Amino acid sequence: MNDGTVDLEIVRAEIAEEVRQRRADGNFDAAKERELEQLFFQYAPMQGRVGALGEALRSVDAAAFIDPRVPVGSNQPAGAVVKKAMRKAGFWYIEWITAQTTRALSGIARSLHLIDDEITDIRARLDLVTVAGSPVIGTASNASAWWAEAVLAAFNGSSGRTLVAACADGWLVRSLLALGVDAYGVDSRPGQITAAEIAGLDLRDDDLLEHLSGVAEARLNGIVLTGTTEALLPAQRRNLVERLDTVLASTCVAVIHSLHPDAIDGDRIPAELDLAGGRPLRPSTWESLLADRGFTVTTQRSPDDAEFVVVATRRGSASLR
Amino acid sequence: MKVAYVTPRYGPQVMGGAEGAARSLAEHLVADLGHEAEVFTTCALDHLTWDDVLEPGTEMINGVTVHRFRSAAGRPPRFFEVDAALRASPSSATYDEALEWVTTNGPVTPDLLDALEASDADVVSFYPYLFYMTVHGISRVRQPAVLHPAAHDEPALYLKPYADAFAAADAFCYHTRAERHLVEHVMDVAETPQIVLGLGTNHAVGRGRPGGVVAGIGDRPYVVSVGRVDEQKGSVMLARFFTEFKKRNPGPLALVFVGPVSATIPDHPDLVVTGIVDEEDKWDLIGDALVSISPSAMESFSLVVLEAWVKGIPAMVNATCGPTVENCERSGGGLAFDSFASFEVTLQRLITDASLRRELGEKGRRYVAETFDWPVLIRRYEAFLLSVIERGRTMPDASSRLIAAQPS
Repeated sequence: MNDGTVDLEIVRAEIAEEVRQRRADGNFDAAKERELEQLFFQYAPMQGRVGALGEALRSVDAAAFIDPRVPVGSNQPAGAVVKKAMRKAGFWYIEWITAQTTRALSGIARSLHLIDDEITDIRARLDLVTVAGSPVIGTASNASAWWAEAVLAAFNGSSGRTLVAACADGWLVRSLLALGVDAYGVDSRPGQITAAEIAGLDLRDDDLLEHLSGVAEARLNGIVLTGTTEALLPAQRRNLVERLDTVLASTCVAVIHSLHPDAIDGDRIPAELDLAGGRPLRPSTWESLLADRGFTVTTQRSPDDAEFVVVATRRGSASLR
Repeated sequence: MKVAYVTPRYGPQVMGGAEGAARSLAEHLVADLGHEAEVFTTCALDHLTWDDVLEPGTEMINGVTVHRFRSAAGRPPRFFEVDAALRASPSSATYDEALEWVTTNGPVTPDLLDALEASDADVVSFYPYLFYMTVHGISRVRQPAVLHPAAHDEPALYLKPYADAFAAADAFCYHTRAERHLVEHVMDVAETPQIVLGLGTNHAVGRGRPGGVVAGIGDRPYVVSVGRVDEQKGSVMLARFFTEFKKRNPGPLALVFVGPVSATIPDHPDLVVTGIVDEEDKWDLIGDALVSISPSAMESFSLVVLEAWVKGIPAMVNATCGPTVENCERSGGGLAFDSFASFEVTLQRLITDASLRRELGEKGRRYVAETFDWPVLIRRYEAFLLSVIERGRTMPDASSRLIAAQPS
């Protein structure tokens, strides 16, 4: 919605630069800023956020200095004078104690900073070998897609909770709901789901693997993976299979719709797939993976042989729930 | 459709918060769409003590049937001891320790739960997740249960009994995407049906009095902070930041706090605390402010930010508060601060740049009109509740609780 004349990104960057400049110029009293930071972070949530350790450490830094100057304010007329005298008399002792405490806390804070530095470094290295999220390879799909009929036939008579990954505008979720299937969808591509979500479909702008990590054990009776398996790196693919083992109920339907690896040779590879570095599995690999898990599998190739769909059904003796 | 709400406090005396949100939804379902709504609540008004101050019994409030029950216990002093012990590492607390936290947090309402079990509503909405009546009530109702968590990243969310309560919900109604992501990060409930609804905004109803006159500061320019004046809501931090700002940037600018007061705000010529004001005065105070500041890090929605945008006033929010930051980013109607330094620079920029204020305010105003206007929002909510009821009717095996309630 940022379509006005002011670019908010630029405004934010200018503010951040001004803050940096003022700090560099010594415009803020460091002790005062530490005290105010402590106040700021007192009730700030920390868990689960990148950079939270750094923020927590700013608060530790602010608290590490123990002030030996005991406040002497008083509501009593002579109270301040008495307190001042007591502070003066005992200052050598209080200062000795607080200096040691400050030294100890600073040592702990320093150690925590070293840990933070190490973690930051490890995260940067990990970023070089992993990708955040599972990229979606956009093959044009809608209710008239060549594989839609096979999918709907597989789910006919199924009623459990069913996830459609890369659900786009929710066309398949809508078709499954019409069949009586309890379907919902996720799609991490910006703007894909907005209109359908407002219209009332249960669609979320989530990454597939992140979403599956929050699904309870054996709670899904169906899953449709379209455009979401091709670009996965080996570790992500392992994670996907492990999560499927966990979240799928014993009676379930699993559908994999994917580009065929033979269809992406030379310049025919989609740019997103080329960039992601992964490559699609062969249908026979999916067949083997799913058969090993008790599924009955059928596979179809698209009319132009560029895509395939694996439809796998499993009828457990009893639901795991 | 008949909807039952379960909420710890209810009534026009309860300003904002999850309870205020529950009342708005109930009243709009009745008034705008002709549905029935009943509320199961306590006789309390004070969220710190849960003391019974209202009469128990049934009354009608704006078309909504309200059943009030006395609490068997409120919040004893022991709560603070229990809370302190669990706060540092809530997920490692035992189930029993965590249950003690839930009980001492109060209000303990066995009579309410008995009555709720006998309700003939089509769907029961628990709002919010934090209290005894949700933890112990959600597994007892026979109807589909919707949980409006109103969750933020606080230690209690990691206590074990809440995982059971969330798992027993048939659907979730969230205020923001940030709230949904948080819940799905902490609990294994990502597959549960949900809607990100937010809250509806009212149209401004000021009397047209200058805000400075309402605040008693004449024609001084001011920024406003609307909502509970509470230490945990960041009010004390904001007062301290603002007085430091004024020390470094002298001038006539004042900060006006508007809302019920449970924190001590220092006496200072640039700080004004109005206490609770009526709706008209509130809108007049917002309308003439240069900026509306939400200092709280722990908001699950923050209607007051949207109310500032209704009047075209830009917002400044706490950068560690996911929901308010999300609304600022989606709307383009506000800026966030993450330290005193960024507070100072951001506030200086906003109070000296009228065109920036105008543009942020206009973006916020458009965002609210398109997303949170009551007629749009209440229709979405109605469709969601009907889908939850239908799912409970046609797919009772989706909920172990509803299976148990089936006639044998």
